[in-house]
Amino acid sequence: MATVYVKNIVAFDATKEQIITFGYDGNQCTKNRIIVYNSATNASVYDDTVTVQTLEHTIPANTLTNGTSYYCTITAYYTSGGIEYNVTSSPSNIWKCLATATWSINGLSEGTIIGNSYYTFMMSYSQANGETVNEFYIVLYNQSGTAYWSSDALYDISVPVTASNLPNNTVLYARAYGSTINGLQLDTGKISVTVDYTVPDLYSNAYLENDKWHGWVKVTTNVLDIEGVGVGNYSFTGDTYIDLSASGSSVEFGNNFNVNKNFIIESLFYGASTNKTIMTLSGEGLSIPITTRSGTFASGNLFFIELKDTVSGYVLYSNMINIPSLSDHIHLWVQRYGGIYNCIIKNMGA
Amino acid sequence: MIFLGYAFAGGNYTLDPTPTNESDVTNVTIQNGIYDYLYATVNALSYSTDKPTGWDFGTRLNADFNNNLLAGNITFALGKVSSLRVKRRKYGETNWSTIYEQYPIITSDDLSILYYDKTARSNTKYEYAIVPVFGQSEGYLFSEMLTTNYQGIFITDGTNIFNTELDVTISEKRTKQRTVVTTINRKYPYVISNGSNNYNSGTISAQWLEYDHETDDWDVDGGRNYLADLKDFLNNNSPKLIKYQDGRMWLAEISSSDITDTEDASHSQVHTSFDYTEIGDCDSGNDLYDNGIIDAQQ
Repeated sequence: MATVYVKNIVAFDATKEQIITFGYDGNQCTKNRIIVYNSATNASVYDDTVTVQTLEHTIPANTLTNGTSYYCTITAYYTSGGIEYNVTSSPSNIWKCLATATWSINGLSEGTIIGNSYYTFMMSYSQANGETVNEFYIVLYNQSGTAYWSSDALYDISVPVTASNLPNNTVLYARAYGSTINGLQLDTGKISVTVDYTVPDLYSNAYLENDKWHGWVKVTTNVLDIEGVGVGNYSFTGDTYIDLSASGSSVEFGNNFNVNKNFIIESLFYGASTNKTIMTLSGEGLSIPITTRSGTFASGNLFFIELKDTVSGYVLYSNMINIPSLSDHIHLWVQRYGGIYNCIIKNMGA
Repeated sequence: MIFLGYAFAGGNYTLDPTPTNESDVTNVTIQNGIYDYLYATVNALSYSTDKPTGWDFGTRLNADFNNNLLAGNITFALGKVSSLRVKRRKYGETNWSTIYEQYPIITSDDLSILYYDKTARSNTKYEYAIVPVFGQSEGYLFSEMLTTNYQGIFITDGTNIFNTELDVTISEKRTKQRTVVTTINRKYPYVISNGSNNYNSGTISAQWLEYDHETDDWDVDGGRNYLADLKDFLNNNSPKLIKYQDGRMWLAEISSSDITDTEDASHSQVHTSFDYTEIGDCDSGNDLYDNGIIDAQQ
């Protein structure tokens, strides 16, 4: 006597074809018939017979409807002594057709570089039929496919999960998988990520002072976080230059920058034509444009720098040099000491 | 005014002050050129066309324009740094101890560290480093060396510190428990020395007066108050770090019930003594942290 049963059916997306598998014990199964019923009405919604010997039956895409629950029976056909017989299974488990969920790890895509020894996973999930997540896991595999780190069973997608002690300079594969309350499978697949620690640099020594009377060492730092603000059409050239020759382009260093009383500011530049303001020093009650100038003197045409305190009207001129070409690098050195400015320029060549 | 035949300051406005001001420069803008670098310092450097490298305490801006507009001495955005650590090790040793951690780093002011390391022993060469921490990663460090040299004896609990250099005497013994067992049938006894106890203890005596650095004198008049504060400090039940100018140092607790004053030649010449017993390794960051001397967990 042959027997047949339908294997467990989990929720699936009705817009895609789905293979229903069944178990069978008896003479060779020559064909099978599936009848799918609406579980709410018990009405047959799909009835199909296929002549195949494999123990499966494919429900075509868009045959069923997402959001509806179903069950089915399978009838297996076989022959014995030249006579065809059949056997019908008990009704299968009830399953629900559900639209495919979107399931991903926030901010993580193929090739993502994790710049730290830990990573905090946040899941992203949505499902058109309002299905909720039942349980899921997050796993990091190494290149040999072994789980390097795995979470416990997780139930709340709004809770971040942190994987720690990720090894530097390694490739790992992140995967989040689980299921919904009706058994819809969720799986991000393996996402290749690279762990490459971002190592910060701090170019500041500790400044140390032995205090023999207090018995301590005074430790101080000079750490300044300064980043210029670029305006207009500027670009970096040759990795080590910034091109501010375009009209209207400039870079301003203001945040956290401060020099008072005595200071030195110097720069190396090229490509500055005559009568252009190349630098402006400013502050409260202070505005000092530094401008390229040229003129005809007894020794010929010469190039120099004008430094003008526009508040007080004080003007200082630098030393004079021969007119540089636009490719000549000019070293500019400006010093304020005791309220007196000094400005020196030198042509450093192309 | 005729001075040595010259009209000294004879012209109008000759003695007027230079019409500039020394207001702070808080912005510098560059434009109309192609720039290799921009550098600012408050150090009094002589003129040079050499490209400045690195940072020191006077550097205020150093922009290299290496595909970015960073001009500070920190190569990352402020918001990404979680803390700054002060690390220290004895010169020649391998392992660093974190002695201070500046946390959290929210504004640029948080990047400025002012820390008094009271846990360094005297007559010792140390390396110090400031290390930025980025999540769980420590950045590269640049170390500076210094040889400590203190005057007198110092006792600190990490916060308060008392010191003197007057008539300091320190007795010291090393203790390891041993038992001598004699037996009837042996000429010689057995010495049993179980356990790993191995610690220092002793007595410290000194004339405790506060030194006034401004007057370069000892505050004899305030000596009683200083001594009373010292006794309260010694009896506050917290572990102490005791260190002497010759380089000796102990992580210890005060172990005598009494703190004894002994007057010498006059009422104001008082020698105060107490016992101490070593309770941990004074060079171990973990021991210092466990005993509340430093706040930085290793």
